[in-house]
Amino acid sequence: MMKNKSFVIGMVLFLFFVIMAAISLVWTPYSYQEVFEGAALLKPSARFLLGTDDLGRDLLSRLMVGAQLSLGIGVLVGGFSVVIGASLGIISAYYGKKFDQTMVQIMSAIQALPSLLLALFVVAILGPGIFNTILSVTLVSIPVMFRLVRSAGLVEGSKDYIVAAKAVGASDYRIIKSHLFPNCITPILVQSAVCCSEAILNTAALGFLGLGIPAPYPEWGTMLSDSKNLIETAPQLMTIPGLCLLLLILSTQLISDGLRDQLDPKLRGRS
Amino acid sequence: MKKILFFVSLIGSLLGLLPTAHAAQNFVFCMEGSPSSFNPQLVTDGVSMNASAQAIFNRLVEFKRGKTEIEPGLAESWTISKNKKTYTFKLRKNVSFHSNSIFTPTRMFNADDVVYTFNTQMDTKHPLSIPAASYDYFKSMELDQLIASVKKTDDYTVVIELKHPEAPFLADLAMDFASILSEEYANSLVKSGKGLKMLETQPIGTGPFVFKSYQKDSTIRYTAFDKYFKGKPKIENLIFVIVTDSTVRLQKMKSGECSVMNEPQPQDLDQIKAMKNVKLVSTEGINVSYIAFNTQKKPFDNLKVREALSMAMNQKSYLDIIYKSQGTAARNPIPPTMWSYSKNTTLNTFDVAKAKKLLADAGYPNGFDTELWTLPVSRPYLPNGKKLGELVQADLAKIGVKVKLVTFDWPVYLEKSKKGEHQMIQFGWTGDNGDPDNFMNVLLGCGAVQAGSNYARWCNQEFDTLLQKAKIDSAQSARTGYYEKAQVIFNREKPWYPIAHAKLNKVISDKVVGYQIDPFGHEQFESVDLK
Amino acid sequence: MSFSIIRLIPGDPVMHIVGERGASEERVKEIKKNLGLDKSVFEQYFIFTKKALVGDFGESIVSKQPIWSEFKVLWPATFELSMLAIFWSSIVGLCLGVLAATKRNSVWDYGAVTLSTIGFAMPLFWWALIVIFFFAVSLGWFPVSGRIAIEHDVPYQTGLFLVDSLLAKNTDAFLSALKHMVLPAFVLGTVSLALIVRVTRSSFIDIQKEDYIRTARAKGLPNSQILFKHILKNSLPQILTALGLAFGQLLTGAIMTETIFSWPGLGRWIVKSIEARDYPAVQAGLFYSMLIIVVINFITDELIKIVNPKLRDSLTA
Repeated sequence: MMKNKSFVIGMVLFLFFVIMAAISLVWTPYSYQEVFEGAALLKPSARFLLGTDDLGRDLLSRLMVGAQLSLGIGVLVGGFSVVIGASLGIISAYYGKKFDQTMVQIMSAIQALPSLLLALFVVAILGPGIFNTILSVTLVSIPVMFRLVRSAGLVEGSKDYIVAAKAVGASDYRIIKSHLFPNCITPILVQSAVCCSEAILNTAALGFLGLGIPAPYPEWGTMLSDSKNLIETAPQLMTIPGLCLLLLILSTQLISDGLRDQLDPKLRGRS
Repeated sequence: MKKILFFVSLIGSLLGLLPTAHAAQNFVFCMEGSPSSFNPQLVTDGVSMNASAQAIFNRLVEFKRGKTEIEPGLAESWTISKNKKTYTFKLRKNVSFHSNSIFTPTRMFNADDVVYTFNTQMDTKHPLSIPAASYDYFKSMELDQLIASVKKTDDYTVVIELKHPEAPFLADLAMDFASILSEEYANSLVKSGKGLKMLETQPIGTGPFVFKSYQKDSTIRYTAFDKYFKGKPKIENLIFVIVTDSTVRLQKMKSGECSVMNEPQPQDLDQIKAMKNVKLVSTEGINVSYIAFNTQKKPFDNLKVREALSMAMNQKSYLDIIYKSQGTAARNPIPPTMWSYSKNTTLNTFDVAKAKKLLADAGYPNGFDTELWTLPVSRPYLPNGKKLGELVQADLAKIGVKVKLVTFDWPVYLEKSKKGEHQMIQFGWTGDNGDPDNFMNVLLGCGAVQAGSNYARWCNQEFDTLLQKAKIDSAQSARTGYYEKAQVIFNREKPWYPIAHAKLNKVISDKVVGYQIDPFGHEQFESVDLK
Repeated sequence: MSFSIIRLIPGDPVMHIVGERGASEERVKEIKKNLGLDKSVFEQYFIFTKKALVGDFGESIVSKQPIWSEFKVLWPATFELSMLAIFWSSIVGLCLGVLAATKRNSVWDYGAVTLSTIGFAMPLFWWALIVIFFFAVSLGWFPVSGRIAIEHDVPYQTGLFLVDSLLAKNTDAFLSALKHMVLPAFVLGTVSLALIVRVTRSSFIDIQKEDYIRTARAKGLPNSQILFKHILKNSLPQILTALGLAFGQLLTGAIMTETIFSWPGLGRWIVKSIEARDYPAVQAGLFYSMLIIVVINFITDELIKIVNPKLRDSLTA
């Protein structure tokens, strides 16, 4: 019961940010890039609803465009991790042998490092940019997805009906598509929401460490680190993007918890 | 829940109330970065120089405190020959070197140390030269091209022969890389097999403070040298604390942990002025910040484009927002406090409409796409390159020039920009010796295009001829004339968009007595004291 | 692995040595030779592996000191911080988790679930800034950053300041070290707290439903005995696994926490080394962090076997 309530809360929060991002595609109070002369560090007012930053730009507009970035990256990475991680996992589980072993080893190697550290490396290698951020964040999200789907696939693959289907001579593609995949859909769905939330967090963390998405894009993590020196003079510059970040991550996690409970009672309560 | 919260806050407040004892004799300097080495011959950044050259070493001649004039250091006096090519230095007697756990000096400072100091930098095959050390600073000042020989005539006399006369030579010798090291120590390191690398981690000098320990990215500890030839410093322990974050640095200043704090951020100045127990000291810095146009690349080879961009950038807003009135608007490559600053030049006018027209005249009615490289580190001359970049980006968008901001890690930034891979780039310079040559020749001379430090990659024969004449002439009035003319050419040709000359600010505690701020950013603590 | 990743980072370490004022071509060559960068990549790799096996990672390019001597000072800082973080978070986490499980659907339960959900979602760097702002800047209870007040120069023995200051019988230094540790440990422990609360709660709920617990209740055993003798014992393996996981997260958390609190530990060191392209340091940092994760996994596995004989038998069988 309670978990379903949290699923609803999560969805509502998530939709809030989706709407915010969608509106910002067509309209923001001002251009997120426009500098208003002599309007630096203004307190919230009727003209600037959330005030302005230290260069004199409207915080609300920047926040809205920032939602586009965080959401976009989160959803994209969630999707990529499904496309890459889950399909590799299923193939690995189905074919086994050498391919499986190699994949497992590669994934363990990636997992041997803390994910943020690895993402940091990748961005340091490739240089900061939207594309590279997505790439690095996707890379670190794949192994967990791979493992979950692979183990689900292994369990499923050893069941009699699959063995029977093989014996009847059904093609590999058919077996994977109509038997294996549908039975792994639960962990895939749940984990893709988790990947999404971790992607948002890692992107912001990269931004905070100065290796995130470059200006002029107002990424929340970057906004946070840009305003951390203003914590006393204009605390809203730091608290508001942080709060948005927290709520967005919270919403995706609530959704993944809710999905887990809804779809798979066995997994309930596990983390 | 509430109980736990209550308990936590109780413990918290109890811990917070505990008194912390302050040892009175500790003088704490809170600075923004970590030193790269303690050998002053090898370092090129201000932080390392303060941590080595200023605290531990002395030079033959030194700058007067807080000034650009020269005074005797380890040399008591000197004479210069008529042809301006022979310099004879009489050295000070009874100057002791420090000792540490692996070295105790057996003799006083003498001519051998001076000869050793210069010869190792001139000839990297010298047996006492540090292997693989590049002695960049010595080279970039072109001293290896200038000095013919450094010879000892007796224990306390050294003669330096030059290949050609050079007006700023004495000022060069007062610079940090010319600090005198102990020949005896270097020899003992080679003999004992410890290796010359110890010079970088266990320095021995003649200066006011003895190096004690360095904990990476955290603290450097020194103690007063009781045999210092100018008299033992008043403070017993000198501690450099490294705090990269300016907010945290300010917090430490507030809590009384720091005696002097470096590089307060412009946005914090109002708050600092209102704070009790601390005060803000400032001086005009000998520096400049600028955006260089790469004149070897299209469209920046076109003067009209450079003029148009200069007209579209709102210098006033940069000074207001980035420098918060802690800078003077720049129009020349040298700061107004330096001699030969030209009064016949003008600031760039801000006129968007005219800029658009100029750009159209130049053949770009719809603007163009370009890159601006933004400074990745906070420097005294430019506190925040990224934010300046965002302002310029917004300004240029108004005349149709779409700017992509690019930045790299500091070493990569230096490497790529030296090769001229940039289009527009932010840079700046802090003077080393108070001579205009140290700005104009290093940053805008034709020779500097090849060397890489001319980031506009601009070589103007008329301008360069004036600089070369000024370099050889030693009469300051004549040199002033040449430099003033050169600045007018600079102002007309616009290889740079000059931004500002930044003020240097330090925050000092009320307890500090006798601290003097230095325009080169040097930190000297030999005569400071705590109340 | 760590070797290959690092060699891909652009940015020449030589340029870092050369600095702002430039150097000639031949100088650059000489520096490269000295760093061993003139050899082929394979040769470099061979030398690296050989030395890494005996714990020799060479010298830091930035500080010119042997990596080991830096590491020796850094790891106790991270260890001390992580220990304190895991200590408080597991105590508080266990209590809250048990409380939430035994009083289901009470305020405690909702509180614990909300806490752990938010804890999971919390961006650590933002949380750290908020905590600093509130407890250090506004209230001034704790120092903003660092490990100990500058005036204390505790002689190095174990590298753990809490221990060293006690060994030196310097209570001022001890208190100062403790005060500096409170905030970062609090922030760092937040994530593991969320994890521990969640796992404790769910495993307690699961086990409560088991038949033998029902039997025990039916027999009329006192509640406290059931709680400690049966439920706690049987949920320990899960909790220990969670603790192992929490340690792994601490490493990631340490990168952020140490950077923000200027805590001179491994996490901050690795970030700084990446920024400075300090190859040897980054290699060593990667190597050590992998090593730590492996060791932690090993220890938790062993502990689980000890507390749960059933599992041990099934594993050895």
